[in-house]
Amino acid sequence: MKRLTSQTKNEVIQILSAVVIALLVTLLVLFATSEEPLYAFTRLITAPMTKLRYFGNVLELMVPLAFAGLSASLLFRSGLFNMGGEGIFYMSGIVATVLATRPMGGSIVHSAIVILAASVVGGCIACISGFFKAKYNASELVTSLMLNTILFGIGFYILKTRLKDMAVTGVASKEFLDTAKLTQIIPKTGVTTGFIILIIVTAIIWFISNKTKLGYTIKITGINKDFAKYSGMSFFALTIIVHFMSGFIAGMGSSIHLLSMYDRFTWSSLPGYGFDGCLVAMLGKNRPLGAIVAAFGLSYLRTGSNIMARSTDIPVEMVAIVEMILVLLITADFIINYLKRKKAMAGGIVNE
Amino acid sequence: MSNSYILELRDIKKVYDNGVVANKGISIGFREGEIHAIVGENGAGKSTLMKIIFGLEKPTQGAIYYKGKEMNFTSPLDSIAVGIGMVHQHFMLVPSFTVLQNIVLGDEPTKFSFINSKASKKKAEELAKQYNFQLSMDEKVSDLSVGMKQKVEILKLLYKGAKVLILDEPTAVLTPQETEQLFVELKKFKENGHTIIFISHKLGEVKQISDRISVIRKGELISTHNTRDVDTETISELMIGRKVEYEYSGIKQEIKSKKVALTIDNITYTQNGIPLLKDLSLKTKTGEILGVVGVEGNGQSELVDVLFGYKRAEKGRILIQDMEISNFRIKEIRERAKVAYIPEDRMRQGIAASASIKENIIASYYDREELNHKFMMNHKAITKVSDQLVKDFNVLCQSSDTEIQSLSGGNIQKVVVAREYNANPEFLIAEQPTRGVDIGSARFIHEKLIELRNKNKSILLFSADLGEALAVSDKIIVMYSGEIVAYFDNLADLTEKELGFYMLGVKRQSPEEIRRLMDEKIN
Repeated sequence: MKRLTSQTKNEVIQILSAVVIALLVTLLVLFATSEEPLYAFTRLITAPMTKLRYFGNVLELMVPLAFAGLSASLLFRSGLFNMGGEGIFYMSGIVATVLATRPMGGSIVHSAIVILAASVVGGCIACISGFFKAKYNASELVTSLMLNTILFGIGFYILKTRLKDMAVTGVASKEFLDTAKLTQIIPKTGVTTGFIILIIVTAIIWFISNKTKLGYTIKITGINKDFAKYSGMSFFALTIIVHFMSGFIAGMGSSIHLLSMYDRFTWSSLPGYGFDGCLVAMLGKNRPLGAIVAAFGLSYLRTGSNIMARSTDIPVEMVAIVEMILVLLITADFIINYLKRKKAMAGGIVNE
Repeated sequence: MSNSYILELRDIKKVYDNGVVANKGISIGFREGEIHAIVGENGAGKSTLMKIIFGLEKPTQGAIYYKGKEMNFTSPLDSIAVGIGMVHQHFMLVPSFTVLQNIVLGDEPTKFSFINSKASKKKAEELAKQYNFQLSMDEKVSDLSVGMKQKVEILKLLYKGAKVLILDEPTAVLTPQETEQLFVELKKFKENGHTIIFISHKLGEVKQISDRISVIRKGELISTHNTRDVDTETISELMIGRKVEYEYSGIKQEIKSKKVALTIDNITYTQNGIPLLKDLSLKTKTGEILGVVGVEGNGQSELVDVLFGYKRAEKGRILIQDMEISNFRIKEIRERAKVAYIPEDRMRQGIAASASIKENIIASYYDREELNHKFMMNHKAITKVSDQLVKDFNVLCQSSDTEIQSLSGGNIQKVVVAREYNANPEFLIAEQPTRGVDIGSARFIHEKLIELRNKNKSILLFSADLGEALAVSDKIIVMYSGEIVAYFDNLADLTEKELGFYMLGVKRQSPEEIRRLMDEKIN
């Protein structure tokens, strides 16, 4: 096992301090607003661990967050700020629905076809922004945000005109076939084989980031694009590849989430996972393992606040406060800077 | 005496957060109604000093007095408010606004809280007329030529009531005619009592326009002179200073089987209508270090860019040995033509600051078989190579896993040199390889360059340090205004002073002479 570098150590200290500060602020807010602040706080923090079903809720929510986070962190790591996860989640969901509502193959084959098709479509969609970035240097932030709206429009149109089940009220597709659905591994929850796929995908991305030439190119380009160019790396190829991979993972996350938790496709607006993914990537410092930990933490917090809302007088929106404080503290890097300054003071500034 | 200064700097010291000392206690007084030139080499600290006067940077120590009162600028707004304005090298204009809108931006005269464009237009037009600026107030800035844009910048400052104008390299972007015109205008400002601080390293222009000259070198004020009392030669000596003596003739081996390494045939490169490389031809041989000297901005960096595939020449071709590389991508130039490059700006171009030494030291050849498999990184081989290089090049660090930005400048540069050396090039472009590097590291880097030369490789050494160029090179060319104006194949009797004449455009060899000398030595 490699020794932790001082940078990683600083980051861990920073994230832990941010969590502690965020929880303290939460406690203050609870004291100001709640009749029973301590009970509410305890529910928020400990409730998800009290029952297997609650913990299952944490894991089932964690899966789409983690996929979205992995997808975003790949892009952020190479210095690309694409926020197209939303649209891809929606469109890949539509693709998954088309295939999951039609009979094909046996149980595993059907699921595999659905997931693979949704992933490939996700990858191709991401490449639209990627291509315009690589070829014309069009801001991927702008094109991807615009694509979100366009994709939702197209997807919703398909849902209403082609996929809608006329037998039910409201907008919903026909039921997914049982052969397409993923097998539960914790009974009565949405924790399915999809969770195992998540672990495998994370391992693969970790491997690509740390052990392959592609991962190296991604890292160098993300740190200094001029240097990457000078070294002879191709920004065009890298941008396309990274976009495809990122879209692929988002599409996979969307289809797995649907096949684990839903009986029908019912999204009549963008699901929000794309933006949550950016949040997860930021909290996880754009690292694959970081994204997993952040997705778990976020999911734990959201599940906890759900349970808290059910048993106390605190509404579920409370959790937004905690999340925002976390983002603020972690992205502001102030603790890292404090540690650096302290070190510089102690060791004296190295002069050139 | 000090009371007669409109603007005075006392003991200005600036240390940046990363520990770089830009100014080491500079004191200068500027008189009312003078054109005061500040000259110095790149990196001497001129720009930092101007940023401090203009309120963009805060001095670590020292004080600024304006009209006898101590000033404490926290932003350019403060300095503009008292009457100090600056025209930056890169213009700060809104291209889609009209001339008038740019001029009044931030200081719009209002009437019932609406912009009173009539009044402002009148005021701006009067100013333009007073100084004979041929500007149409309603034209869009994006439609103007560079020279006109500069006028808009100046007018903007005058409109805001600036008494002291700082011009940072104002002629760098101008054609000779535009420069002439600018000088006429500057003299007019002077007559009207404005003080002009003129930053430049073109000594000819400085001599022509200024009343006094202050020379800055390595963050210190060397001296201030009345322009009529000094000649350009003296100033250039002061600018460069007494250099460390390098002596390498002992380690240069005799090379027998020399071949042509680089051939440049009549390349031309133009940017924004200004020709930066003019029909330039050059030949170099293996087993030689060819020094390229010249005052900065005479086409050297464009030559590098064209050679290394950053820019494409409009005309002409470039060959490495027999391979034409004019249209190669950087990767092909590196891998197929075997060219390596030590860039001038190591922090921007030469390293990825927050990556490890290891990751930096393999970047330009990470793709090669001996280091990596088809898809995977071969961490074992990489560690071996980097540890060896760190040892061979005496890079002071904890281990090759250390983040490179925690090293000192000299050690970072050693990593860059180690990487490009280890890329095993046939042809190396070394651009200011020892700038900002301590003497020990500089010597070491020189020796490594000579080692490559002794292996019968070819090196193009761009250097602003004439002592370095003379000691390390086998031959020297001088660039002036996008052309090669001199070729020296015998450096034994060549002095820095003599080179200076060619660098400043005072002397030049005829093109036929240069071509004859070059060809003769090759064949």
